[in-house]
Amino acid sequence: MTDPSGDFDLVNNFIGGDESAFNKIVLKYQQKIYWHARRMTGNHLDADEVSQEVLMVLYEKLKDFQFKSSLYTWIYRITATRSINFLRKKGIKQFFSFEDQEAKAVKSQEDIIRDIETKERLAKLDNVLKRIPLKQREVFIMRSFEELSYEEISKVTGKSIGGLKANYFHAMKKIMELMKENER
Amino acid sequence: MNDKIILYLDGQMTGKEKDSFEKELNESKLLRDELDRLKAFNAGISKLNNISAGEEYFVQMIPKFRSKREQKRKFGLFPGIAYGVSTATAVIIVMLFVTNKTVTNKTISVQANVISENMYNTEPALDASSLSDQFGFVNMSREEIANSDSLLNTMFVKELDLTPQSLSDLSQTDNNSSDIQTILQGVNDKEADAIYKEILHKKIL
Repeated sequence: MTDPSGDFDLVNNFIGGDESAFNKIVLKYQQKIYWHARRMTGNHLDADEVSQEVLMVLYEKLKDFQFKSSLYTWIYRITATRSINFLRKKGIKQFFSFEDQEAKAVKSQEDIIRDIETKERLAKLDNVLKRIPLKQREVFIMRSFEELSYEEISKVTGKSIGGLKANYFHAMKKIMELMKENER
Repeated sequence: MNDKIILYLDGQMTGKEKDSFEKELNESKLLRDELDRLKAFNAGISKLNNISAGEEYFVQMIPKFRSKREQKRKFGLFPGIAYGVSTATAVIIVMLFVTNKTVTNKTISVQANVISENMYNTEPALDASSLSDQFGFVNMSREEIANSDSLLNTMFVKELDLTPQSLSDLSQTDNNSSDIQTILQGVNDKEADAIYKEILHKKIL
């Protein structure tokens, strides 16, 4: 997890009217926010949209933050919730949309990753992750990418540790099966 | 894939389970290959975990947010106002509809009262005038007209020289009924009209 030292002062300064304190908070956590959103959504444009939404929520709600959890956990929780909500809304929109899929694909090629090999590997994984349920995907990302403990994931998601372990197990099983299928 | 491999690598096994699984691993090459495969996958994930990319994007993140925030602040009121105005309009329309409906109901009820009052006032006049035309009555009040039948009946009884005794006699012959109406039942319409006209002519005109 990110070092929480200084968060208390930053939040209090922001509540006291210091706008630069908010910038400092964003600078500290923006990579975490973006990459979680990116792994969940699977592309840059959607991740950017989610990230901006998260910042907007942070700005509006930070005044009410009471340090019942760490700032990082709170930000992570907002990011996780916004990512899932975004994907659900997107799923519904796509279901009713007549938008050209090719145009969409071109649009989604906009990216901040320049290295082609990394891009390909990430795309391969994204294709697999897209095929597993959202909740399993979320636990897998938090556990494998962000290397959070089950206790930490539980704090973020509010789910029981047993349930999270089961979700991770099923996610891994499905991912390995899908990887095997792709190799054939 | 052997499910135990996932649990083993994720640290979800108890001490005993772990020992037992490690024994299995020593005995099975297939299981070892599967374990290696999963380890390789996890290593690949770790590599993807440290992508250094698009620093310029992160530099632009706060300015982009500030610009969006400013836009929201400028035009943020507009959706609120639009929402407020549309809600107020909807409420006013509903209120108008409800009030109008009540007023209409009240108007209908008032109009019904007026009509019934008019009928109450005009009907006796019409009746009186029609009676006056037909029988040469002077204008009579509603109560007078209402009593006219009993008056005529009385006159009819008098004309026939019916005494209480004779009425009683008649009633005995007609199923114990002493009512004048019962007696009139035996008279046809033409005869009754002729009798009434005679009475009126004699007694009133």
